[in-house]
Amino acid sequence: MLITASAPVGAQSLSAQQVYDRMAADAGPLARAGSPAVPSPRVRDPRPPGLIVDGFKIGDPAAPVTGVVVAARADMKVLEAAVAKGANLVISRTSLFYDSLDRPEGNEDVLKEKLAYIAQHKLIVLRFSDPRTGPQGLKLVSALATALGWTTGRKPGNPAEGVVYTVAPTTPAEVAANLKRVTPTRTVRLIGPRDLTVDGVGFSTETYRPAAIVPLIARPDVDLFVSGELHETETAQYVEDSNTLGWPKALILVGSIQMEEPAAREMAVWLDRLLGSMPVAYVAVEDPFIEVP
Amino acid sequence: MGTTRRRVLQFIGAAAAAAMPEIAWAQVPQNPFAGPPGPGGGNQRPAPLLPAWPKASQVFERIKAAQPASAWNPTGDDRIVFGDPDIPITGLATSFYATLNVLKRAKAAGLNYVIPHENTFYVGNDRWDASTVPATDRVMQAKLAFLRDNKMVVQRMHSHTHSLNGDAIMTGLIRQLGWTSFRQDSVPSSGFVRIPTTSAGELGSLIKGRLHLRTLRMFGDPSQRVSTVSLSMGQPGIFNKIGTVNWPNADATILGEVREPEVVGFAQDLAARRRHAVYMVGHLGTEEHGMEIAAEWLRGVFPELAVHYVPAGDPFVGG
Repeated sequence: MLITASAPVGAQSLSAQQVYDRMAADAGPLARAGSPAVPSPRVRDPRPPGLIVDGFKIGDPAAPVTGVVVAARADMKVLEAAVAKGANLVISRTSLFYDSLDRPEGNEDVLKEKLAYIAQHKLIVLRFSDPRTGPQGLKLVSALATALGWTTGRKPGNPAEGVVYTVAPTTPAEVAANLKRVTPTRTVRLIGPRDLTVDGVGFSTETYRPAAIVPLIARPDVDLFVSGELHETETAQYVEDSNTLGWPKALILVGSIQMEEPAAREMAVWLDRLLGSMPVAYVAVEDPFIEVP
Repeated sequence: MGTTRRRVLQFIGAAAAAAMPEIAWAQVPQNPFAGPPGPGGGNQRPAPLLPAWPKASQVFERIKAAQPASAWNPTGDDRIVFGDPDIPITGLATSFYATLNVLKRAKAAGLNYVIPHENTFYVGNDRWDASTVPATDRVMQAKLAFLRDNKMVVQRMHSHTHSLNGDAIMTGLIRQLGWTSFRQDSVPSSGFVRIPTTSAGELGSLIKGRLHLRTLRMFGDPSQRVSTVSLSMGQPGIFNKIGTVNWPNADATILGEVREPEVVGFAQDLAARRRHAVYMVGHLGTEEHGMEIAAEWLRGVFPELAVHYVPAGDPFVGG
């Protein structure tokens, strides 16, 4: 499909809002619907529990879409790739303006340049990451587990609080190696025994708050928990204490941006199907981390 | 309600106490240096040969009174979070957090008043009313039982440590890195150093080694020359962390615990424009060394007691 700066001849002409409406309808109801939290009043405060973040963060939703780029995070390089591809709608799984709600308030040159770039190229950025409960929504929630080879075994529960799988016995070492391969990332961190036999795996979805995560790790049917990041003083301490007591648990941190790559890839496949002849591309965020030897 | 439990309520609040499991309070032990029991048997209080150990409540009051100019947050993060105020205290332990591993080592060293910088019961500010850990959770129950059975007291000291002699946590971090004489800034809770020029890769190895980290992520070009480093500790919020990454003229930044899409995201966008190295040291790695300074200070407050810093140690390994 030849991508030009304007909508390809014969392609459906959809506005960004129409694209979002189709996505929301197809992905199903929000897992948190009915209990939206109050946004933290101050910019860059921690994300309150249950807060809905999906929606347009910048740009004109009424503008016609020339092409779609999906990424784990709309960082500068992803935005530049979108411009190079002639795409004007960028869908980001994680926040792009250094605030959980993407309120672009701050006086750093980095922020000003990003805003100027977006304005110059008339980009539109949409956040789409809140867990949803329709079949396609659950495919997105399960994208990381699916990438790890776990296509069945998800236990019922509210996906906004995390998901739990029953899996064939494996070890944290094996899961860590697979996580590095499928996200991809060069670095993961582990708490707990590398060679522990695990058959109950939990994943964080919307949040890393201890109030949501510690009860999941505490469950008797969860031996291993996978998260992007965590609160060290609460969550890491619980896992350490459980291990000290001889009740082994393991926790793997894969990085919050990298953790969203499988879901971003699944979204690109989905939107390619959903949006007809609209050009859709997945763009990987360059994993920035290396391990210091 | 017994006298002892009433006094505990004073320390932890009625709502918190109501949420705690019901526990029986054993009789506190006598001072081991006290003389033999009198003719009436073991219930008679013997005359001590040495001054009696201070009670936990007295230790608490002396800590609070020792540096009145330093901030103290009595209802938040500077308070006794567990323990009988009448327990005689034989020694003090400071730590980043009071994990069971730290508690066991403190107990083995005869230190039964433990002063962690962070929370102990898996919830922010040890607020029982906000905890989502089930009351039947066996890890929580075991930790409470260990503290109770070993007659230990836990007093968190967070804001007070950050306001001790400037900021003992930042001072401790810079000292542990060996950079005290390189410090350039004058704001206590921030850090900016000018170090002998090195490569970003070598700097990573230095940081990992001196902070006793078992794993360390960095980003940036390992061959980048670095002369100036901005430092952030703990988790003071996104604005604060971004400010450290964005510090003027800093070649590199050490970060504590961060919200990654927001702070790592900022660093990614900054690195798209200019060279900058970032070291993800984490919460414990940036803050635990300051608790050694807290122990040094407390030794002056309690010359009659054993006072030791107990390192909790990096919880992570590379996967």
